[in-house]
Amino acid sequence: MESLIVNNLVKKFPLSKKQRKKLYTSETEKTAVDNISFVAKSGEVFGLLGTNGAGKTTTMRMLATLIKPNSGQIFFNDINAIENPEKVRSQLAFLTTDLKPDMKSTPSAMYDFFAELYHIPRNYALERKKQLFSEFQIEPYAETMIAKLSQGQRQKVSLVISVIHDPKFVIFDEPTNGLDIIAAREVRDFIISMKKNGKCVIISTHLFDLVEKICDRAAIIMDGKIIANDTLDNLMQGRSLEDAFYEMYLKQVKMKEV
Amino acid sequence: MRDIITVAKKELKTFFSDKVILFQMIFLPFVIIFGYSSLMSGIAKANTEPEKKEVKAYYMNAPESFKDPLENLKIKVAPDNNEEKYIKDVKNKELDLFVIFPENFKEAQPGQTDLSNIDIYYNSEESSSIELFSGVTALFTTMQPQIFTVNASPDKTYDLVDKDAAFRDLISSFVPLMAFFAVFMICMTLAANSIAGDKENGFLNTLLVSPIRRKDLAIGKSVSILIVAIIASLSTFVGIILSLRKLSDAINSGEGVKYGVSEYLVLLMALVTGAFTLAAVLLIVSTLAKNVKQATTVAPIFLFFLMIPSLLSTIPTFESFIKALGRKNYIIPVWNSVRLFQDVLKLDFSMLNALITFVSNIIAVLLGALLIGHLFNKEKIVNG
Ligand SMILES: Nc1ncnc2c1ncn2[C@@H]1O[C@H](COP(=O)(O)OP(=O)(O)OP(=O)(O)O)[C@@H](O)[C@H]1O
Ligand SMILES: [Mg+2]
Repeated sequence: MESLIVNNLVKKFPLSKKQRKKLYTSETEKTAVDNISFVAKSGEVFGLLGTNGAGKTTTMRMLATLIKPNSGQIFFNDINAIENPEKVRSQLAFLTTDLKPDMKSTPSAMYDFFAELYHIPRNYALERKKQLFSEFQIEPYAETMIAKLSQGQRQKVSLVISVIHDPKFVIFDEPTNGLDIIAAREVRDFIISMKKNGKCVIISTHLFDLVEKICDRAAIIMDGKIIANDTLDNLMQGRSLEDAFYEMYLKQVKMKEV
Repeated sequence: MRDIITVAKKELKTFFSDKVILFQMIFLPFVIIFGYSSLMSGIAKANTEPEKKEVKAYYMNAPESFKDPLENLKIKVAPDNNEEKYIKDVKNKELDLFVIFPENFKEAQPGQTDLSNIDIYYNSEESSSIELFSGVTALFTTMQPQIFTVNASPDKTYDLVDKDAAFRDLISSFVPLMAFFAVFMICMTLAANSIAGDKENGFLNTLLVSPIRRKDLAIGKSVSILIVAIIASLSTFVGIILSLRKLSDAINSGEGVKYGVSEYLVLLMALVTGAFTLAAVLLIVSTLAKNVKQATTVAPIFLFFLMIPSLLSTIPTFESFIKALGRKNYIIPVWNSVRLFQDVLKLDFSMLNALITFVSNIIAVLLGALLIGHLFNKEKIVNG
C-alpha cells in the first residue's frame, strides 16, 4: 500500500529587517510549520484545511521537495524525501494554480519536453500523449501557443503535464483557487479520478465545501500546528464542517488565553 | 547529462523559433559592428583635416648661413644629436619636420659632381608638416640649389607617414566596445528571459517540480546562453572582418591593413571567451533577479566594464595607467578581452598575454557556472 508519512515537520523562515518591521516583531524567524505529523494513504484524498497563513502552502512545498524543513521527516513509501528529492519528484505530481506552463511553447511541445525530463520512453510517451490529450480534450489546441490559450485551457495543460509520469502521489495546493465554476469542477473531477486510480492525493485548501465534497480524511491546521486529524465523518459528527471548524477554533483561542 | 541536453535543447528551440530573437542573435551583432564602422569611416574621411597646433620642427648640423632662414620658418636647432629619435618623432607626428645636414656640409664648387645632400623628413598626413616641408624646399631652391641637393638619397624615405597606424588607432578605439556591446545586449535579453522570466511567470516552479536536479537545470540554461554567445560572436566576427576591409579602403591606407591568420584567430578567441565571461555575469544577474525588469535594469551596469577599458585607453593619462598595469591587464576578465582586442588591432599583441586572457576568462566562466549551480540550490533565490 502506497502511503505518505510525515513526522514532526518544522519550517522556520528567517525574517529580514523589512519583514520584521512589517510584522511588528523583533523575532528573527517565523515558524510557519510547527511540528506537524500525519499519514495519507493511496486511494484516498487527504485534505489539509486551514485559514490564511496557517502554513498549508509551506507544508505542501516541503512535501514537493521545493523547500527543505528545518527538522522532521517525510517518507513517500520508503523513500526519504529530504535525502532523495529527485527520486521522490519522479513519483509525485505537485500542482498549484501558480505553477504555470511555458507561455512561449505549445501544449504538445510542453508535453514532449516534460516527457523527456521524466525519462519516459519515447514510444510510450507518444501513446500516452494521445490518450491524455483526448481525455482532457486538449487536441484542438495542442499546437497553439500557450500564451494564446484561456485560463481554463492552460489549467488543463498543467494537469496533463503533472501526470505525464503516472505519479503515485498527487499534491495539490489550493486546487480551485482563482478558477471559474467550470474549471473548478474539472479540477475536482480530476482529483476524484486520481483517487479512483488508486493514487494518494493530498490537497490543501481553505474551502470547507471542497473538503466535504472530495476528502476522505482531513487535518485542520492552525498557526502551523495540526489541531485535529480524522476521517471526515468523525470530524463533522453530524454538523457541517464549517461549524465543526469554528468550534475547534474557539476552543483553541480559549486555550491560548489560559 | 541527459537532462542538461534536454533543457538546453528546449531553450534553444525557444530562441530559434522567435524571428525577432533570431534576427538579434544572427544579424544584429553584424549590423551593429558593420554599421558603426561605416559611420566611423565616413567621419574619418570628413575629418582628415586635423586641428591647428604649434609647429614643432628641428634642424641638425646646419651651417651658419642656413640657420637664420630656418629659424625664420620656426625651425629650431635640435636639442641633441639623437637623429634616430627625431625621425621616429616625425613618424609619430610628434615632430612636424626634421632637417638634417651632413656633418661636414660643404657647399660644392661649380662643376663638382658629388654634391652634399640635405635630408628633410616630414609626414604627409599632417598638414602643418606638409606646409613646412614646402616652405623649406622653397627656401632651399632660392639658395643656389646647384651647390647641394635635397632629399636625394634613393635609399631613404622622407615622407614618414604611417597611415596604417592611424587606421589601427582609430579602429582600436571603438571596434572592441562595439563588438562586445552587441554580444552583451543579446545575451542580456535572453538570459533575463530564460531565468528571471521563467521565475516571474511561474514556469521555473513547474520545472523545479520535475525530477531534474537543480544544478542540471542551471547548467542546461547556461549552456543555451553560451551557445547564443558563440553565435553572436561569430556574427560579430564576420562583421569585423568586413568592416576592417571597408574602413581601410575609406582611410585609403595604401595596401590596407594586413591582419594575418594568427591575428584573426586571437581576435576570435578573445571575442568568444570574452563573450562567455559576459554571459556568465549576465546569467548570475538573471538568477539573482526577481523578474525580467530587475535583471535588465541591473545588468547594463556591467557594460561599464566594457566601456572603461575601451574609452579610457584613448585618453593619454589612462594609457600610461594601462601600460603600468602590464601583464595584470590580462588577468581581469572582460577587461582583458578588450585589452587584447586593442592589442591585436594595433598589431602589438603577445601570444602569452593572449593565453593569459583565454585561461583567465575560462576560469572565470567555470567559477561562474559553479556559482549559478549553487544559487539554483538556494530556496530563497529560486522559489521567489
Ligand atoms: N518565505 C517566507 N518568509 C517569511 N515568512 C513566510 C514565508 N513564506 C511564508 N511565510 C509565513 O509563514 C506563514 C505560513 O504561510 P503559508 O503560505 O504556508 O500559509 P497558507 O496556509 O498557505 O496561507 P494561504 O491560505 O494564505 O495560502 C505565514 O504567516 C507566512 O507569512
Ligand atoms: Mg497558501
